[in-house]
Amino acid sequence: MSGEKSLKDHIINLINALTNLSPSRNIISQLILLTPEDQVTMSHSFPEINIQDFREVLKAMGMMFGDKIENVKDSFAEAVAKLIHKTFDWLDNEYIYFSSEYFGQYGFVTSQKKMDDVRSYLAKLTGLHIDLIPNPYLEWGKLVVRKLSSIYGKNKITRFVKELLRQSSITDRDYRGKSLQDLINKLGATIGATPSELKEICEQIVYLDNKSEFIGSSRYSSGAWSDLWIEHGKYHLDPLLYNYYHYTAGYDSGAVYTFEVRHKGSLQKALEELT
Amino acid sequence: MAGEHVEKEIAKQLSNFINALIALAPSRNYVTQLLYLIKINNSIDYRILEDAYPDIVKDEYVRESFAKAFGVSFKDKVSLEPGKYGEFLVDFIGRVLQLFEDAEFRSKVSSLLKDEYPQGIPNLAQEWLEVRLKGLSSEPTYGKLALKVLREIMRVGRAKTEELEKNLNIGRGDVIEATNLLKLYGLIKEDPYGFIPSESLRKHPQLFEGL
Repeated sequence: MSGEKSLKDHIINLINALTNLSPSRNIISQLILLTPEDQVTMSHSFPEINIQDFREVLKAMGMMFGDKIENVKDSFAEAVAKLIHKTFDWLDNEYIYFSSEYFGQYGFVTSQKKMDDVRSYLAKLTGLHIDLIPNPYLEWGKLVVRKLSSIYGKNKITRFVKELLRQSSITDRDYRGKSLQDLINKLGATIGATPSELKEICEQIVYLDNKSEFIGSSRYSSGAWSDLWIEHGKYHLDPLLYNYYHYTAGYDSGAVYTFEVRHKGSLQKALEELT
Repeated sequence: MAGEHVEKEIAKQLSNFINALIALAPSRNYVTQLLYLIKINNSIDYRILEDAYPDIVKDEYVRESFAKAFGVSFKDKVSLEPGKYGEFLVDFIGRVLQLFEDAEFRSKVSSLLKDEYPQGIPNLAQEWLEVRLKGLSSEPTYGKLALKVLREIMRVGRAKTEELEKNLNIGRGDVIEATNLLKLYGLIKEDPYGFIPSESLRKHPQLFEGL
């Protein structure tokens, strides 16, 4: 069932198709990704949605138009939003999965792993230089950073993201940690943002309240376990991975909350392009 | 003029989006075809895939790179590794096939993309069935026999191995080879009461009749 094209052609076609479904390449993916959002705001940013025939297509894919525009639960539109996130991570070597292995008396141990060499294997399969493999996350990151720079100023956005990227992880002993908030406040002071400006920048780049997405749990042989969440920001650059680690040691037990910064290389490149 | 410009822009954006979805279909892409076949079978014998997809499976360097990039386990049985991108991608492709089977969706999109798709956008689920039927009929060893067995299963609606042996006057070994091939292509399903045509074949029997 292979047809006349070579394997390389098929892999390149596949990567291109996935890239073309990314928000940097078309407004349908942008609409799907940026919802839920107020209808007035969306109509202003995307006048195309006021054309009835186009709106009908979006509805057939599972977008709902009321005071707010949103994706219907379990609809095709929601599946596209998930695909965008997964492809962002996959083609930026950040795809996380969980793997279980049997350890005799300890039973099954589940641990968090990363597909961290995907670009290199795709380069081998296609014969393309690794830098020529499309990176939808990087493309989108460049657009978002450019847009936010035009609103808040290049200096503020660049310094905010740079300082964030200098962190490897941020650790706390209590939920929705003080350390993270301290860091954000410190970043705000560094860039000279007003409190409301800082809140907006933080929501657009780092995280929105109540938009964490649970992605899985690890179970360790010691009996400890951890839950992993991705923090979603408005533009879905999602640079923070939140790990809730729960342990027991004798009669003692406790938890550690860690925010790990990811997509570092691509965010760095997006900034470099801006400057 | 402004309205015309917006309509052109919409057609361009929609075309880009729809063409990307079409390009993912297993009927159009060799890679997603292999991944999708593994999904519908849960796992496939390594030897079978070595014959069917030699350019992915035979060369160790290609096979290993493919396995690592998409998350495929190549052992005696070939399967998708749980939680990895390949498994996620085929689930999404299932949603694409479902969407393109919806006549209302196709009609709405086609009305905006008349120039590009004068016949309407394709039903990808139907197209995928056509590719599998063609693939089966050109299979050199048991292809013809499998078609004969499939015709009988379609005729009676459900058949057990012994019934196929008796009705078609062929040996048990041949029935097993033919039904294995039909299962591999996702054209029949087996339950405790025998073999039945797959859901897609029941939806589009005319494609089989037209063979």
